[in-house]
Amino acid sequence: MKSSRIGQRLGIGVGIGVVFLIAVGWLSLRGMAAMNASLQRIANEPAVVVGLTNEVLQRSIDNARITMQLFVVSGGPSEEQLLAQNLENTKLISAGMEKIEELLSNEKERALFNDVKTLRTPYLDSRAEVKKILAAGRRDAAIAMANDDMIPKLMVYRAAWNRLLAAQNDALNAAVAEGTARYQATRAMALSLIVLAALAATVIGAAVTRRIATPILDLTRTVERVSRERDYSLRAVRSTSNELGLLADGFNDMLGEIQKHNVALQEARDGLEEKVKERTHDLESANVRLGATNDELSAATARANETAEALRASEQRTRAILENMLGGLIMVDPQGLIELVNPAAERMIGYTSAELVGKYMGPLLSLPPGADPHVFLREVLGKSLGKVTELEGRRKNGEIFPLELSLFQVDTPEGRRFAGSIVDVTERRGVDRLKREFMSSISHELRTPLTSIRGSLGLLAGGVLGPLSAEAGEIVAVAERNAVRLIGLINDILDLERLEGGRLEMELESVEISPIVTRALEAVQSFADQAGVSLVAEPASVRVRADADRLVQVLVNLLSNAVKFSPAGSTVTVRVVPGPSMAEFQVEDRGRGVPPALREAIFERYRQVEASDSRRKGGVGLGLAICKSIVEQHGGSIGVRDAEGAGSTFWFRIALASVARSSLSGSIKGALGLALLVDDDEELLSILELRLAQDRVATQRATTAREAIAAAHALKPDLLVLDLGLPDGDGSQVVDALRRDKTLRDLPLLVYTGRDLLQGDRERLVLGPTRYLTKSREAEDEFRSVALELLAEGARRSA
Amino acid sequence: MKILIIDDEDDIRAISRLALGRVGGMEVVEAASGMEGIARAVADAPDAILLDVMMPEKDGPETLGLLKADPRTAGIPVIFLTAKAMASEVERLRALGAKGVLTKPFDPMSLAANVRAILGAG
Repeated sequence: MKSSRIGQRLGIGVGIGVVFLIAVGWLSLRGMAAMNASLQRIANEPAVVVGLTNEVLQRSIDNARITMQLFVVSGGPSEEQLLAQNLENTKLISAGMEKIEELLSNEKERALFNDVKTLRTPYLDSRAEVKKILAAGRRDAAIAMANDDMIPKLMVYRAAWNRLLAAQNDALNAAVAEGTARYQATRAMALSLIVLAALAATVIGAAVTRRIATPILDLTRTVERVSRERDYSLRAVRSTSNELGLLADGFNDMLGEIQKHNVALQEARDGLEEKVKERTHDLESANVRLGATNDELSAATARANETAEALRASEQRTRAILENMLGGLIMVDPQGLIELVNPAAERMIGYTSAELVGKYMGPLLSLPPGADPHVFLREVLGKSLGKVTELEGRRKNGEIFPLELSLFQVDTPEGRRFAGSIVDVTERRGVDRLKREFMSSISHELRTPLTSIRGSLGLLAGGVLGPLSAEAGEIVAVAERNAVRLIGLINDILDLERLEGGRLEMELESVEISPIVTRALEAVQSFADQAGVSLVAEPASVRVRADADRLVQVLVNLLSNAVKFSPAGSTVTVRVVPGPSMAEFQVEDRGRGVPPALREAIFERYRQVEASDSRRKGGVGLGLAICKSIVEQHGGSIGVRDAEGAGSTFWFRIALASVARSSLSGSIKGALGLALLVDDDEELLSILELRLAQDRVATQRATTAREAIAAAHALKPDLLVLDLGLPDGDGSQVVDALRRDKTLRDLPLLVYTGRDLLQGDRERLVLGPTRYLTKSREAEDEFRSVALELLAEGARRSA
Repeated sequence: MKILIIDDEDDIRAISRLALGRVGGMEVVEAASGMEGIARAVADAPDAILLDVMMPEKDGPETLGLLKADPRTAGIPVIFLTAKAMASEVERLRALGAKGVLTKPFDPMSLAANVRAILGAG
């Protein structure tokens, strides 16, 4: 901004100079013009006189000519014309002469003019005489008179004029000479003036330069010096009071500011040094204090080192254990990423620790065909935690091997971890196989002699070989009974081996239950008769999905147990209560009941309510374990509860064979559809049932994954409402199982869970139209509206 | 009713003979091996055959195959007698063309009735 103002001002300065130069030039020209005018005035005066004189002379000559013509012409109009002309001329000559007399200023010309006037009169008199004579008609006399008198007088008169003219010419020439001289003088003066003006411009220019350029140069020089020397006390010279002066002032102000800041900086620096000194001092004193506590510190360090040493030793010990233990150990984070692999595990799976750490553990497991590794892994983590489970492992070379996993949870500072102790059970499996083969062959080998013994005893006891004495009959009966028990025992052991080895094939088909109940009752009847226990059946006509022979086996087991533990004279009741999706088989006794604490334990192997039972009642306690195994392979569940009154009710539920839908939703007239509600929270189920009932949606419930799968197969519901955390596994198992059934894979699904679902979960948990709601976080009645939407969507799709 | 028992175990044959003959009132013919059983089946033309599964040389299924291949014996109903009580085993044996399967050990007093039930079932 400032520079542009300077430019503006420089322009103004130059402008002033130019204007001054123009003014000087103009003045010079004005001077010359004035001089020219005066020269003209000088030349004009004589010229007028000369002009007048010339005119007078011309008239005079014209008169002389008229006079001559008058000689020639005589009378007539032309004579008159000539005379009028003559008169006119004479008048003009007189007027001209008067004017000339007025104009003449110098004496010599006046004198010469007076001569002209004086000499004119004789000529005019003579000419008048001639005219008179001529008018008298005496031409010849007139001519003579003119020649002799008038012409010599005219000549004299004309000579006077000539003298005047000459004088006037001289005066004119003198005036011209004088004008020229004056012009030259004036021109010289003008030139001098221009030179002077140029000089003046130069001087002004110099002044301008001094006033504009010098301060700028000065300013520049000062700026350069300031920037070079960093001397902010320097000041630009303020030489003028104009804008440049202001510029210099501005610059100086700026320098002043800079100097001020510089001084402040300097002060700050000085202060800083002061502070550094103070701090140094503080530090020194702190150092002293530090020195004082140093001993303390080294003592603490020593202690810490000891602790660290102890820790290191402990860690080394732990590591040594980890590295030398024969069992494999793998630790994974909740996402299944491997964090630790010990050498035993490395040897087992063929990978090195470096190859595994940070990787997903999925590839270490052999998955069932078609299983999603994430789902499978989550199931494994859920199922195996705190237990020993067997899985199929996969070695680096692709070999599949049986693997026993004991999974436990570790809470580390970095968060929850799952640690698994893994054992390669290939050898054990080999031993198991040998054992099974042995059991199979031994059982066969046992069966053959047992068949003979039993057969022989049976024939004897049956009196086929002749009547026996009462004592003999009793003894043979004892032998036969024990032979039968032995056979039962062998059968139980074999069954259990096969069931737990997963080698007991089940043929699940739709079977009517009444013949099954009848078969079971027949099998136990004689035993019950012996025990004095009556058997009562409350039949129902229901079809279930089951292996008929195995179902009989379960019922026989439960019935004989009931008989075994029932007092004589009591009744054992078997009944089947068809539910909407499952049929519940109940075997009710009037025995002593099962203490609540043992209600789960009695379904384990070799367990009985009392140790003495096995001696007193017979059996090795395999029956219920076998029942449980069989029922579970049917997708059902088994349990025991107190019977009303006294005794126990052993029950098991298995899925109904596909039933006509109308009979199921019968409780709700014109139901919109059937929703299968899967949740282990029975209270919540009741609430959901009520809510859906409002919308005329029929409902069925399942409390475990197994039940849910069985019910879905049996009922073909219109909507599945699924909780994820189920007692026997994860809801995703249900989804996986249903997806494999093409009649169920498009079933509308409402995942209704308290868990927060990850995107991965959502991708896996999909059947037909699928929605996700978080329990207790859904909006009022959102559950109902979403359930209805899904039912509608499902109906639309199947239409 | 004439029934042929084919079993390599003498004891089992003895009990079976008593259970079927004495208890069931059937005419019993015995054979101790598969080959002998086939010969007896041709010679005696029994109404049914009770065939043991586990036998040396020709076992039960092989013997059954030979019986079914021979037009003279193909029409005789065969009931297997096995110590393996597994459902799959029973299915397998049925699939081979047996009329029925009875398991060992059996109750000698009801063996004949069980055989009659199987044959009577069509």
